[in-house]
Amino acid sequence: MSGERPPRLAAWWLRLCLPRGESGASMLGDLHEEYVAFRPRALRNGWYVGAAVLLGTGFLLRRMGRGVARRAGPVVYRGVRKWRGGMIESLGQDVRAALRSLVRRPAYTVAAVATFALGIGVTTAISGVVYGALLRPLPFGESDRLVRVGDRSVRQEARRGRSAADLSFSSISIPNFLDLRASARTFEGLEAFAYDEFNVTGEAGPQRVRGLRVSAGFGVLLRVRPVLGRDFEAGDERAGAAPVVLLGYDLWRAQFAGDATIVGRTIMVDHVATTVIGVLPAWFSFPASPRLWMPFRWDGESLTLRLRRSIDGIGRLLPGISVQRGRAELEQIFARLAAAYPEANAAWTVEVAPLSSWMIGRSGRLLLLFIGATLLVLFIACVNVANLGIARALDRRHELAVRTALGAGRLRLARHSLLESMLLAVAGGATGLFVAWSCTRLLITHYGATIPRSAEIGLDGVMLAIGFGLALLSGIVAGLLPALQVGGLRLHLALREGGRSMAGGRQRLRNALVVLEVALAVMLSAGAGLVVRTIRQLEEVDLGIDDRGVLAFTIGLPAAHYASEEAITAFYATLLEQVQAMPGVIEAGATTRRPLMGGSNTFLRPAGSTDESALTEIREVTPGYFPAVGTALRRGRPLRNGEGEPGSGVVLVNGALVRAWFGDDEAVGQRVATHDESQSWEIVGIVGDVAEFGPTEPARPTVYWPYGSHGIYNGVFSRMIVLVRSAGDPLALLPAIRERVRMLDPDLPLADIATLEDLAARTVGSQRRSAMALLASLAALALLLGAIGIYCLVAFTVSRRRRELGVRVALGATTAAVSGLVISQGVRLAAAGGVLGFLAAFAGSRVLADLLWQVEPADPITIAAVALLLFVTTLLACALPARRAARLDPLEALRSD
Amino acid sequence: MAQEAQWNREDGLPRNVFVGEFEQLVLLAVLQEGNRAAALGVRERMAAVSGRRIARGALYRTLERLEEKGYVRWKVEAGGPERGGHARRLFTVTARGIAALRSSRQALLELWTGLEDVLT
Repeated sequence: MSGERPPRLAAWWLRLCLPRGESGASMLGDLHEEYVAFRPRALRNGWYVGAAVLLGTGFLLRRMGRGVARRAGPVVYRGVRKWRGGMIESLGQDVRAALRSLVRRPAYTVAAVATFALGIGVTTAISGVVYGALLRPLPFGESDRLVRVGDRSVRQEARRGRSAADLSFSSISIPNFLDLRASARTFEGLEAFAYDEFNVTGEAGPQRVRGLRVSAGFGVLLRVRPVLGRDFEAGDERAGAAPVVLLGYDLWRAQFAGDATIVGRTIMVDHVATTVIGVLPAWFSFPASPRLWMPFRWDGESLTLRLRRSIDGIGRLLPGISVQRGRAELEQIFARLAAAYPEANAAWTVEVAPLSSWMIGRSGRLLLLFIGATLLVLFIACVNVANLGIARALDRRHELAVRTALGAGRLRLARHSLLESMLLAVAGGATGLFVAWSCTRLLITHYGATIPRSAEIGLDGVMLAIGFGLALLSGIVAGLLPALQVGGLRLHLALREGGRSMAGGRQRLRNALVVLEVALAVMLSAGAGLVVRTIRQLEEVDLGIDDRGVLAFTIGLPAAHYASEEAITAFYATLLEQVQAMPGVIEAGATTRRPLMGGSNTFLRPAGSTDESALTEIREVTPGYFPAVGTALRRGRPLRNGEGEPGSGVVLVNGALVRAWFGDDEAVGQRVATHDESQSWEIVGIVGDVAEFGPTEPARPTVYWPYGSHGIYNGVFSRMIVLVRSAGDPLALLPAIRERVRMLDPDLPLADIATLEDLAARTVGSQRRSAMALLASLAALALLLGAIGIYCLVAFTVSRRRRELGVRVALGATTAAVSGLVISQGVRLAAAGGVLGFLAAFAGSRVLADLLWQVEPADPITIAAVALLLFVTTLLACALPARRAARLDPLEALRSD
Repeated sequence: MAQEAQWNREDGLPRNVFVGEFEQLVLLAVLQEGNRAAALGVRERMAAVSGRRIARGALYRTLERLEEKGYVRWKVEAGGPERGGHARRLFTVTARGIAALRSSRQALLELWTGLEDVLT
């Protein structure tokens, strides 16, 4: 009959909970009978477990209640003879009592709930974001085996120094990558990708979108399957294959209205009819959200150029292979490649690191810093509520004393106090969820771009769990001190005294708590102040450009329509000429790389010298570029129209290059050359330094070729950044410029439209700006909480000292003297907290080191500003109690007890 | 029970007692089941008549309470394999239980008197 046996564990639970003897046995039998008859049979085990849990738990709770009741005997409460309940019943009683006492003091309750809500809400939001960004596993299947593979320049490292935390990947050349892939044995697969931009013409007109070029196995490697259609196949990669595209979910929704029949349709990508073969899932991010995938098309020349590092690699290690082993193997293979092709691979090696650490990047430490800061705020909130709780306990000494006299145990009283704070924390947590929700949305909208994987972050189960956990934790933290206090109050004295005098020990503890609060708030404020100062310093650095009134935008010419170099250079020449002629335009120019965004470089050296070649920033510019961005010519002559021809042999260089290569010697007329001296160019002019890598990095040696002269490349750039200096508002020119572009080519979109001022502001670092905004808001919150703490303590003291203050007034103390007495209490607390806070901030400023620049931890301006802010806040917090004290009527005060 | 019951001095049976609604349902269902009233049958009959789910725990605890009040008693018979060998309790309503039911019915009838047109 084993098939008719109900689940054992459930039956065991029933035997444990149901009454002993025949009645319990008969209940078991009843359930068994129902179990045997239950249809459908497939569900009967589940049904039995459910029924057993319900029935058993009910009986168990009743038995526990009764057991305790029997031991405790009857009690008389409010004239009614009652059995004192068991654990469960008395807990219920305590919850009800706590609720009643909270409702009776709405001001206290609202203050405590609001404090908890702010603390828990903000902390939940930040921890949720950090969890989503850092700790949640990548959405790709078995993501722990995924690694990022790239080249690493040994020479560049030697020059700049390398820190362990600094993951710097350079791109790989296509032949190097294919050789690595062919020889690697510790990898399940190695695939390549490259960020690229595409002109897509959909239902909403032409649009320039960022996407990925990928090798055919990219999706399989990441375990990303299209939600519609199919993935790329090896054939799609071959030269001459029909062009195909996988659309990103957002692009599919926005440009093609989520058309379910899109697969198989032909759309225009870079002016080429391309077949849509599928749509990617909405969650895919890498680490931003690429709007489409196109397969690589590797053919002829690209398979031989080992010097052109243009693609990036990812790999999936075989199960059980460590990242170190994978790296060791690739390093061995690369060493062979370096020996075989020294001109391209000497001084290079290969880098392998977990994909997650690459996707998180440097924001990881910053986010952890934020968590630390928010936990401090939560702690301040807890201290605040604890302080309120102690004040309440002192206020209720009389009541507590009476209850003790009537037989309430200390444990029970302490439990009551703890319960009260738990209730407050849970209510605060529930309200805090709303705060968390708004904070999260605010964070994502404002800082989504700087937070890794922000697309996956939202108020979800994890956040709810975090919030609930924080609420319980803060309830305990805030309730523990008052609960211990209640346990230790000398309550018999309270009855004798009538409960008006100060309890000295408690007052000291409360003072200490407020000092702690203020110290933490000052620490946060000082940190925020240092970051603010850094940003001010950075904004004052001369970037080497005049950013006022300059518009920047990008145009990419599709190869299908602009096949020859002449067509491309002719397009830009015509466009710049037409824009230049527009009213309101002072100067128009174009460059191959956005200003203030370094990172396009090669190794060059002075011609004819024996120096080793040095990493040099390279750009091509039109003659109008320098006047447009406002960079001055220091020596020599500017570029001329007509020098944009292959072989013109002239370049401009910046001051940094002259200082590094020629010292104080005259540089105009000298030549720069490639590392093998196969090509060289004459320096005709020297321009000012531009802080291409932001204000904190010194300008690097830079070479500017005339656009169209080929420079070190074999062709001309089809994608250019156009800069237009206007006499008025640069954005006002936009419609007219769009019209000019449309007349030249109706399918060309303008992309990355920004003012040079915006670009300059970005160099300060979005991380620094978000850090400043967050730290400043947290510091403000902490100060507010600290002020509330000071206010509560001072107000409480005033109400305790009414009698004493009344005597003082009666004996002739002036209003000013009485207010001064009250304010001096607050100021003393704030001063003590302030000193401690500054010391802590000084000691802890190392955690901010990444964010600071040319600001000392003991920056006098920051200290002065925070001290002033603290002083004003303290005065405000003391103002109301001081006023109340000053207006005290001595007669009433003396009569009141 | 909230109200103070009055007891007849001669037979010791309750008078002017009002049994609660759920307890009445249980007592009546036990009576309807005849001499083989087991908890399962009682529960099914109650559910069929009242049209609502009867919680097992509520039924068992009510039967226990009714037993404490002396309204029902039970005897045990051995259970077969369909019950996994567990005993079965057969409930009967005591004379006291019947008296309490009568008293409750009387109270209801008195309250209904003269209200026939409300019903029809």
